[in-house]
Amino acid sequence: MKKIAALLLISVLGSGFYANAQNKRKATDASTTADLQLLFSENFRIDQNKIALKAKELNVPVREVLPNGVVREMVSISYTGLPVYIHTNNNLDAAKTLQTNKLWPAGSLGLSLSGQGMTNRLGVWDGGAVLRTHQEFQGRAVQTDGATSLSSHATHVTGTMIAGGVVTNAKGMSYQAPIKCHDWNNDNSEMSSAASVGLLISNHSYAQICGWQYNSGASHWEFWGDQSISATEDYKYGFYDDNSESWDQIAVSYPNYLIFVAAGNDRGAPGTIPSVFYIRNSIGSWVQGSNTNVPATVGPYNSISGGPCNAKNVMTIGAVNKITNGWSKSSDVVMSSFSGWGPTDDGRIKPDVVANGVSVYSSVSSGTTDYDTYNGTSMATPNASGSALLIQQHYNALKGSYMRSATLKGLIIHTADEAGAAFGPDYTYGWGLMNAAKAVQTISDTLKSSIQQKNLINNASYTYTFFSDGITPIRASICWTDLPGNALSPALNPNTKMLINDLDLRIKRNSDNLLYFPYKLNPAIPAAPSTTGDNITDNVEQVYINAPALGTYTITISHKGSLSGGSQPYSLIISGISPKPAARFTVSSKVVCTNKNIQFFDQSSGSSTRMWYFSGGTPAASSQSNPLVTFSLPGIYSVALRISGPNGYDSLYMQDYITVGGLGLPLDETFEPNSLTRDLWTIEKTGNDTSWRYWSIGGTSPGNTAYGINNYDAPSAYHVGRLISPVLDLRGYLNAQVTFQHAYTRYDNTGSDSLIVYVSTNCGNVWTRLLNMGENGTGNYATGPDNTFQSQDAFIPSKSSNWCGGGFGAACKTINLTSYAGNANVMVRFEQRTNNGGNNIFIDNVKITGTLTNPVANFYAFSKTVCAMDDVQILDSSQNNPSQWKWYFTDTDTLTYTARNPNVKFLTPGLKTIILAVKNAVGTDSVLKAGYITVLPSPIQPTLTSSNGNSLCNGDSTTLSTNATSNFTWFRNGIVQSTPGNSIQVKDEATYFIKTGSSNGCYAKSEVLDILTGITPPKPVISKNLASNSFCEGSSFNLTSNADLNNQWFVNGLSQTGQTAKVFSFSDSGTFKVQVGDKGCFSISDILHIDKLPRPITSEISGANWSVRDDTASFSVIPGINGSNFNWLVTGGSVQSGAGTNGVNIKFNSGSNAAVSVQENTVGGCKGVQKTLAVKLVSTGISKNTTSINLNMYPNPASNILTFDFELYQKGNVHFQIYNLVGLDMISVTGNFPSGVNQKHIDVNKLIPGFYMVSIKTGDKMIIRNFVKE
Amino acid sequence: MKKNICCFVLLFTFFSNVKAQTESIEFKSRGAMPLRRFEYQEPSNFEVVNGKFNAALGSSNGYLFEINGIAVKQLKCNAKLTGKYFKVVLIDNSMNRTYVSLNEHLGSLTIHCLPDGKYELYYVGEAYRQKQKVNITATLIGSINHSKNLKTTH
Repeated sequence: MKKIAALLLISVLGSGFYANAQNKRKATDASTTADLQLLFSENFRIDQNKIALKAKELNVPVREVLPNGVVREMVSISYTGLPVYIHTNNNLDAAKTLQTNKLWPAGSLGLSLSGQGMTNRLGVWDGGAVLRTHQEFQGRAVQTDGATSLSSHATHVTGTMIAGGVVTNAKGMSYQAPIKCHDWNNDNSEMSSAASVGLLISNHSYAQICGWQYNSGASHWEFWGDQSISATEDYKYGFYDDNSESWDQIAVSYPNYLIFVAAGNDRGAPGTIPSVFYIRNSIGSWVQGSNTNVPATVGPYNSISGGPCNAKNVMTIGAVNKITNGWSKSSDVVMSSFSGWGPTDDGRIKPDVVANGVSVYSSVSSGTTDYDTYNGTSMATPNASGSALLIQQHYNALKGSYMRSATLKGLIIHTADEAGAAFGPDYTYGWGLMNAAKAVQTISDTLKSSIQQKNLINNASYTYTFFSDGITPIRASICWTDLPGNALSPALNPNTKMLINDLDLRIKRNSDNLLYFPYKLNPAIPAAPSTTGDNITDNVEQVYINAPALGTYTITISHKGSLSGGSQPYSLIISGISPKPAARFTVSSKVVCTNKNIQFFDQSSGSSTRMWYFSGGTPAASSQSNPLVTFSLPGIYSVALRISGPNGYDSLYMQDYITVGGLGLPLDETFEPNSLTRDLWTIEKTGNDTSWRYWSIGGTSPGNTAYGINNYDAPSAYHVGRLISPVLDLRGYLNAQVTFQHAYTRYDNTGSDSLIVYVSTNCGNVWTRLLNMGENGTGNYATGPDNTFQSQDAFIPSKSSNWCGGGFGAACKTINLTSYAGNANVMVRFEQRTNNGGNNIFIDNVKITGTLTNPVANFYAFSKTVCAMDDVQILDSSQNNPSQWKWYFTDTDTLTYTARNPNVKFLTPGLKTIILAVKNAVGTDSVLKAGYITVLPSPIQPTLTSSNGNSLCNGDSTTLSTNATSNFTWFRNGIVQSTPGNSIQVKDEATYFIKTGSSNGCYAKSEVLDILTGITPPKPVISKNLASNSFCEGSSFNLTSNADLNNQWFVNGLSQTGQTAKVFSFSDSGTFKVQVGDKGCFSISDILHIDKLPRPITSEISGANWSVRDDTASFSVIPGINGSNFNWLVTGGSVQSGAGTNGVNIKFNSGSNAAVSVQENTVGGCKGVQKTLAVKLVSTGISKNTTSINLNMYPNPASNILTFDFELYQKGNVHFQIYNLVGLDMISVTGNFPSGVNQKHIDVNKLIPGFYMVSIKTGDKMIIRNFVKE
Repeated sequence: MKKNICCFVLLFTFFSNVKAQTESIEFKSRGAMPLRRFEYQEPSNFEVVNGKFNAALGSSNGYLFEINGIAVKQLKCNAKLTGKYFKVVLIDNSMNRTYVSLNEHLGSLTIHCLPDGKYELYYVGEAYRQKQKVNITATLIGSINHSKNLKTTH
């Protein structure tokens, strides 16, 4: 019974399982994103079962490779039971997805980028060696590290990068680039070493093994997470580890090197959680996992594989399906089922961009002609990296250097196509689908885009102001190679920020100071659309303004905190700039015949309207883009172009730009690259194939370039080639001639090629033959022997003997042109005719010379009746090629001119006389034309005023008014306006003036008003480095404005010239203010008053310079300023009384020396110079507190002289009195002694020998001594 | 005699240990293309990738010397490995040349364990580029910086 129940159970379970296996769930059945991943995996297995059954039923393979290399595979069964196939993508489709194909030769961008010549610039690291001999590589793949273990994966990836396209569908992105190949051993060291010799881009389609992995060898699932960190989630996904840190450091060390890494394919793994799986135990061995703690499926978010994929400075690439016709809308980008999604653990946006990585067809290593189709972010990454090399190639071609890696990364992000449900970046597609074509177009478009590589210094900021046309969206991106983060110890999803230097990008709309912030994502809600705000996470920031207003914007780059390293290099990319008009033009030819059409080409930028001026030409003016103009008279003419656009106006005046009628003589044509006239020669060929061209030759001087024609390789048919000189003006020459060097040798003696010289005097309409050589086989003008080159070498002259006059054969020719002197529009033609496969002919050093006659002065003006103050051009029509001119006018703004065709203004009405004097190499001439110009009176100059000044701030407007009442015209930026009234209201930045007309056709022009627009900045605030509003005389102080730019400092109301910095230093009192702003829109700070306080001048210290040890003494100074405080300092003693005053009592110590110092401090805090007095300390003296005078009396007994040594404290009288025993006064002496040690001698010779007494008295002190007289 | 031998061995061991405290590489090559001197730049990098030990030492003038493919279990103190246990590569990035050891080459690698926990690898052997032979003597010192398990992403 039990057995039956078990069988029933099994059959129920089995049928249920079978039923479940047959019934696919709808995507809408999924309730969570994790469930959605599980649903897809289950449906896939259901399909696989059905496919196997159907293939067996139809007896067809599930997967087959067609003869053209396409792989097709049955992937599902339709509802009607029919098999559904997909076929391979191929590298070509990958190229179309990223629009890399447009960069190739014959691509739509006309760029011809293929990676050719980019030696040492591209590298690949992979799981094994590349099959270098595969037919797609043509010797361009080198296994640099000597690895020998072939890998189809490595060969496939390399093929996507550089395959030559032997099989068209396998053509790689940089299909002519060389590449250095490595396996993944020692990748860090090899990358550094390769970068040190110039590696720019490397591809790494590998990652750390993470999460769920199926071990096909052991036929079981393994979970590679660290159980000690988490049993259910592998911490390595999104984790910034030491490998991430190492690759960030490599990027910092080699700033031009950008590393491309695959994002990994683990999203959604393993699909259905296996019931049996293995995990690593604590010692790293594989053990079966338990069902109580089952690891979850990977992702969908935070599923970027572990390792360098999470580094900040690399390009992490996700995989999407192909878009064969190129991107047109965001929904064209379809995410693959496996590509890893961000964020990183610290919330950064990864992947950076996506590329095609589904079903990619490329070379493999099983054979030199083998290919296969692979899926994976492995395939997407070379799609991106191979394309990036072409972007670098283009940048270098234009700029002569390569971009920093941060610039390339920022540019790829800046130009990526939108992908994902919401606008802006996300953690699924990153910044979008890489678009290589848009990237190179941004590089090329230097007018509307800007790519800047900068360095931000600590505490500094950078601003950039530009104009928007109000239509084109604005996008600004910054990217920087950040210093490596500090890799953490393994932990699950630590959110510690890895950003080291946090740069900030802001855009301000200057009309109203509206601030735009960059994109940011919320890692806590990874599926949420991007918002804008302060991004403190990513080392890429982007601001996008979809619908900007017309006007100026200012970008500011700043930073938070302090920059590690003291500075941070960064790259700024901007699109949507409306350029200021820049006038530029070219012409079809600058030397032309009279009455011959010349076409001018307007090559200006930023303009919407234009006006050409061709003084002397027909038409004289034109508003067409590329007008045709003729000049009927020989001469030299100037051309001007004035343009106007929404962002201003510009003009270009090219004086003496067009030469009509021909060049004057001599013409000395060397055909060298530095010749100014060699580009004026023209070539005609009447047959196909060869014609005249430049050759590198030898034997003539200067240089090694000549014109030649290749008759040696010419086909058997005859052909003619013509080389025609520039137009020449032979007027004014008495004679003329042409000489030239030729080189030629016959193929053999059966015939000769011919060289014929013609002249025309009507611009090539009719030609007259001047010289023929070797025509119809007659005559021999060879300069070398026949049959010299029987060995099949074509003739190319290499030494002087190969040329005419070189010792063999013909001499050089001279042709007389005197018959044609006096004509303009002269041309000389060299015509060669091959003789059915002859040999090469060369011409060099063509010289056309002549002898001038005296000049004949003449001039004309198209307008002989002009208005006062008009610009009038006078055109020289002198003959015989003058080289100097001197003009004399009356009553013009300048009385004399030396230009060939001067522009003058006549100041007053009347008839004006003009005199012209000319000079050429042989003589001079002059002409006077009296009353030549009639100057009509011009109307009174109209006024033009602005009601609100010339500076319009904060969107303000003004009314421009004129006093002209009739017949007037408004001009804005030099272009006529259709404004009818005599006043207009304006609020944009432009130049205005009025012209009024009168009945005589003259006009007057008003003053030109330059209207500026700007924003009044906030009122500036001044800070000072003083504690109060005063400072002491003899010092200085700093005032600092809180505005970084456009400061102007004022002192006592006067603007200080050149004082425009943020900080202003000064050393005198006064009132101070700072004005900030520009274009007339200013704000002024409050006035700050600073006083200068006097410094006291203290007297020297008054007091004795000696004192008795341990005694007190008084010292004092005379104050410099009343009310000061005095700071006394004593060494060797201390202040007893009077501290703080100008007099003190000081008690000294028992040392030998002391010093007394004092410094006066005023009430205002200013200090005087410190005064010091040195005091010597002595050991004895009568002090006020003792009676001792240190008396020493000797000799005793005394015969004649009795000597007294004593010390006095101070100067004074000392009385000596000698008594006998009965008290009679025998000797009495008084002396005045100074302070200090003294000596007194008293003569006692006359005393009777006996016993006596002496008293010594000073002040109130008395000493008694006895002595014996002998 | 024994005493002399012992002294010699002691002295040899002493001097070899004293000598092997700094990293260095010397090349010797005869023929038309002499090699530049290896200019030492920074310490070598040791790693384990998918269970195999690799070491690399780069120069400031474009060289990179590698010892690759040693099974981790072979990485023992005082081990002496013959050529079949590892591969040697000398990359000259400046001249775009690569010299590799032949299969089953005659080179030898001695592994010392230093008191500070680092490994010292002492290599003597040859590398070839076509027919040009380079004799290499190298000393690399370091500890394992990275241990990675890698897979391709397809």
